[in-house]
Amino acid sequence: MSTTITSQSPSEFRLAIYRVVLAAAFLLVLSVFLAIPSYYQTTTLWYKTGMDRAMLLAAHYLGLVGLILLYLQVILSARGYFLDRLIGPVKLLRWHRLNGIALLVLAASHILLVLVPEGLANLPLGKKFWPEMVGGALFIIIILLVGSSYFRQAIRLPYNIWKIFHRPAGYLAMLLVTVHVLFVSESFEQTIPRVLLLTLFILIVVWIISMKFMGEHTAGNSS
Amino acid sequence: MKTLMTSILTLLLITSSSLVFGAARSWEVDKAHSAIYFSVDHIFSKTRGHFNEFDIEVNFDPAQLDQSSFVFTIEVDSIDTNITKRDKHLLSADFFESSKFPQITFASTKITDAGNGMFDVAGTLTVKGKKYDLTLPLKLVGVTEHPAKKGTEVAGFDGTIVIDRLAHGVGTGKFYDMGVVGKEVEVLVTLEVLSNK
Repeated sequence: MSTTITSQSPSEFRLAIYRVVLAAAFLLVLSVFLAIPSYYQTTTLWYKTGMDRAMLLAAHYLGLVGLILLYLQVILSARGYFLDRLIGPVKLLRWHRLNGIALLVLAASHILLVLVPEGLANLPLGKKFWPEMVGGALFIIIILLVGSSYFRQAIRLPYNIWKIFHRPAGYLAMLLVTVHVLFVSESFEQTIPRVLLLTLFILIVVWIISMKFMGEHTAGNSS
Repeated sequence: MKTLMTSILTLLLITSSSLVFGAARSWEVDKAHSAIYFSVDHIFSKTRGHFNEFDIEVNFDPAQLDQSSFVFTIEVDSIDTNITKRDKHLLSADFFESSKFPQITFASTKITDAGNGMFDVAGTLTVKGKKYDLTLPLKLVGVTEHPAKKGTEVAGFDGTIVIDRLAHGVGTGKFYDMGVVGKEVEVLVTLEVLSNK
């Protein structure tokens, strides 16, 4: 009896430590990215005053929270053995769904807060505003991803078709948000923010690929 | 029927009068070699830009100045200062408010010979829906056969004018008061216009 207790307790304790470390890592990454608009202020902000300035600043912060949550969304959806064991598949799915809603709200708020100070009739359309238009395309993809997930049954979308679209669109969203941030934001023209973002992006891509490889490897062994 | 007859007669009258009096020579703008540049102070330096899309109707003959005319139509959305975010800001209500006022126009009303190849082009400048009297001094740089296009003559015009943007409603003065953006905008018009010989 006592042997059983001593063999389970360190495992549970280790899992708890991992959870704390993961949460701390997430908060650290979020904090580092949220510090970027203050350390690397955009010149656009120099020419905004009063409410316009507050709205644009809020848009920057909400956009960055959205960026990190979108990266997190891809990590949650890729799951992997480690996250499955640490958090559990049910909780992961719940977080994934809630995070999707949060992303939609953040993206919509970000767009509104960016556009209102410049005038809603003064939309950044055309070739020279391609990074902004990438952001627009990303917003449409987020709407489709969240909408098709929440209303899949209502619109009678077969699960297999939904799945074929959902996962690649999620990866595309991750790519688009990276391109959007890298090219739309003056803050990310600076070396450190640029390197930070690209490093995070590459780490997640490598992690997803390794998860896929490990998953197939495990599946291959089990069969 | 009466209205139709009146319209036809009016049209005939206009056509015949232009034949009798003779309209000044019509020129076509060579857009690849014509530009409308501007320059404005930013704290200490000069910020330069130009408009990529514009149309200019030129009817000009130094011997028939009363028949000559210039009509400039500038598409505000085509403003280009080499920084897209600055362009977007210039298009906003802080400056041009291009969604409401997409064009700037200048239509000449009278051209006078100022000597030494200079011509004073007086006319009406329309910015943000309001009309202002303006005289654009244009120098006729020269008229010659186009070296690369036989049977065509090319004429060159250069003109520089300083416009007080605040007096023309471009900005409220907020950025001027902050000491960031100057109020005097130097506008350089440089044209090559073509006409068959």
